[in-house]
Amino acid sequence: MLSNILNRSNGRSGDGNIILLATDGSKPALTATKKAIELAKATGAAVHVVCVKEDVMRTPLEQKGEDVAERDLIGIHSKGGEVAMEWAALSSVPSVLKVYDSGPVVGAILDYARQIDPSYIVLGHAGRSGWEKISLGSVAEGVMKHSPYPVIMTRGYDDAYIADILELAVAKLRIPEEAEEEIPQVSMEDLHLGKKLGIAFGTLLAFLIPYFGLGAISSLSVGTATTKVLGDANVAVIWILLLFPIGWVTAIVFHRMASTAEGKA
Amino acid sequence: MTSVVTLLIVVALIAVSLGVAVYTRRSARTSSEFYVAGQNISWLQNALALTGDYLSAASFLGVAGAIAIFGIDKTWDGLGYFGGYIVLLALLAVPLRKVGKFTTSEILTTRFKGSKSLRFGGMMGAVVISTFYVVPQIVGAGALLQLLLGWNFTFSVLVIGALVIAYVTTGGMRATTYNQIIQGVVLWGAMLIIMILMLGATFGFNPGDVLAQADNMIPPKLASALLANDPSVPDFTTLTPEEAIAFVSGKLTGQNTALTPGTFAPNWMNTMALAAGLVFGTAGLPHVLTRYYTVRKPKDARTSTIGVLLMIGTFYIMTVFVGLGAMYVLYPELMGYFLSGKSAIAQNMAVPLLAEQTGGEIMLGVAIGGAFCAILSTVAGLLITIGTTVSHDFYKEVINKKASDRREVAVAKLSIVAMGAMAVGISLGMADQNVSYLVTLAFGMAASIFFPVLFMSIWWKRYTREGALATMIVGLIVSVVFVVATLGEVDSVLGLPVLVNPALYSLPAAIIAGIAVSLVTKDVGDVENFMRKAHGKTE
Repeated sequence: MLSNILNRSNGRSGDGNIILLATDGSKPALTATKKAIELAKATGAAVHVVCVKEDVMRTPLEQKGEDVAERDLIGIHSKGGEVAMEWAALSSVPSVLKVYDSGPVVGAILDYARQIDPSYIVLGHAGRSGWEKISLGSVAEGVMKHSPYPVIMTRGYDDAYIADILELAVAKLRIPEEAEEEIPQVSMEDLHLGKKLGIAFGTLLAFLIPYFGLGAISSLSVGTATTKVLGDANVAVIWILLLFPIGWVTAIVFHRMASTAEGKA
Repeated sequence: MTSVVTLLIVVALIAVSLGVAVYTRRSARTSSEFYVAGQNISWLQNALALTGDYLSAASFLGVAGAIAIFGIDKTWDGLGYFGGYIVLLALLAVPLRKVGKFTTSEILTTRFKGSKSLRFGGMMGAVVISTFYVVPQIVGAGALLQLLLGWNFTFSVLVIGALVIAYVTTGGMRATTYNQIIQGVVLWGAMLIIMILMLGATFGFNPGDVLAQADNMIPPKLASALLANDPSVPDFTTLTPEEAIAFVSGKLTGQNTALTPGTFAPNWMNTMALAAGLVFGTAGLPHVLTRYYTVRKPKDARTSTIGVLLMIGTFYIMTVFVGLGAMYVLYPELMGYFLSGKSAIAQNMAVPLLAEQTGGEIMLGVAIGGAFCAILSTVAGLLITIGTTVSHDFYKEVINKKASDRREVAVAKLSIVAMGAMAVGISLGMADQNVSYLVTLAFGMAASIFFPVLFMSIWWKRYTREGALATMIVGLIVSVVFVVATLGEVDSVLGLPVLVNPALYSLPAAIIAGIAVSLVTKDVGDVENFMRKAHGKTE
């Protein structure tokens, strides 16, 4: 049975077999990486590595809170793909890397699987439990549940088994994650600071003048402010209710002017 | 003490909103669906998250609550909270997104590299502003518990403080962003339902009728102060709204009505101080700036902000009618609470009380549950901001550069507990204050400490390191002195009258200090690269 799965060729012959490895660079994923490449070498298959970045709305501390929840793992995440590629090269196993810039993680892994039609998928089970599992869920279990392909899941990790691949991963970690940002090389004059500030202030005044104007009329000319103009609504009430649409129009006009100015720049 | 039905609805609403937030975050990892297009976070999601973060107890309870006791003079709060986003949109949103830094400390040290004193100033400012913003949330939650369970205010505040700190430090850091999105929708919807029910039950679906009634009422806060020692005052709780309004109007002819400006801020200096503090405050609020982190593209920073303006603008228009309608419907109750010394309820509870009168136990549950959710999500956002600033901007950058992520999170949690405890302590002394009023003070501080320093750093090439420090120090000192003076009911400081908001003094003082010091110093930092990042084309 097992050998049937391991040698499942999906109609391809000989060395055309593909193993799909999903990794996030964590210790359980490194275990799966090593295992997948061993299997590929033994069966003459190629390894396709899929790595999914999570593009979800998180503030920096939220992100760190989640990373710390994975404190038993190694936080190299998106570099997991590069580690797998290097390990495959060291083992002389042909490999291909596919990176998704956004999730859902399970959905992206299965999407790639459908494209390459692998013999089977290999991934590691992080072993989360309790609140961490409730709040983050399990990618491995999600893939198991929905995959039309056989799945080999490694559970947890053994430090002795992954010692060598971990060394490679840690070396990757030391390389700073973000390269120095590219700064657009334009002269100060070409930034048109004065013009941009002019557009910003000009449109802002369209709101600020009636806004502070309400303050002035309310405090300096209460008689005018309380003059009825529309049924029981006095000048102050009408002015207050009009300030909101004035604000909306100001914002939209500013957006259009700023977009046009950026388009020309 | 309210009914079991109400209590169950409150608990269910909180549980469901937290549950949905966690579920959404989880399914962003584990859903098996995958669409190549549309995976990016949309401006609408960002707009909702910003709205949920922004609409706190102050907006949900405080704004309509204050209009219900002061009349239209208190629409300033909503107008200012709204206008603040226009200032943020026009002057800061896109440059901040382009620089890619979202705390004042980080923005300043991107231009003025390696400045420990600016980092420290940025951290102090964020802590002071956020703590002052947390206080009204806890005061509001305390008053809600008082109304819901009949506990006394001190006990309520201690319980809610402990719960909030425990929530944020254990699980609350997860899925906060999704929680904000849900809050945005829940609060906006709850206010709409309360307004429709109120208009239907009392005003024949005619908003004009609300204004007609408002024109005949003397605001309860003013009336109760004038009638406090009048022996002819009846037991208001036995009167109908018409009887109560007629009695007060008969006694106090010629006083301001609910549609007369000036009841809260009685002269031009007070009015302008409040208006300036509010409109320039939003752009300096640490938790608002941090939220732009999740906006992907500079252009999205603008469209998201316009989305927020639409959401909160319509929300504050609703509060005008809900507040004035609540004044009419609850006139006897509000007068009764003030005259019997229960001003904590009169100040902040008009929206839940109105919900109960118009929609029974169920709507009371929705209003209290909605308010609790608002408080939880806003306090979580604020405490997380404090945690980030102390742990990342200060501890990691200044004290221990080699700190691990785990240590950084531990420092964040410790600072959250410390600041939360301090906020609870301050809240205990603020029982009788309107929560929106307390928030306006935090806005005044943000307008003085952070707005000028951010504005000048981003737009002025001649601004210097020392000028930035002077701006923050002067803004911090002047605004804190005047906030303490106004809360302590001191009449004047150094010959200057103490106003309802510090900004009329502290904002110009901070700007003048920044300009003056910049003109006599030279260190403009890495100005060229900073300006290229902030204003260059990087779509």
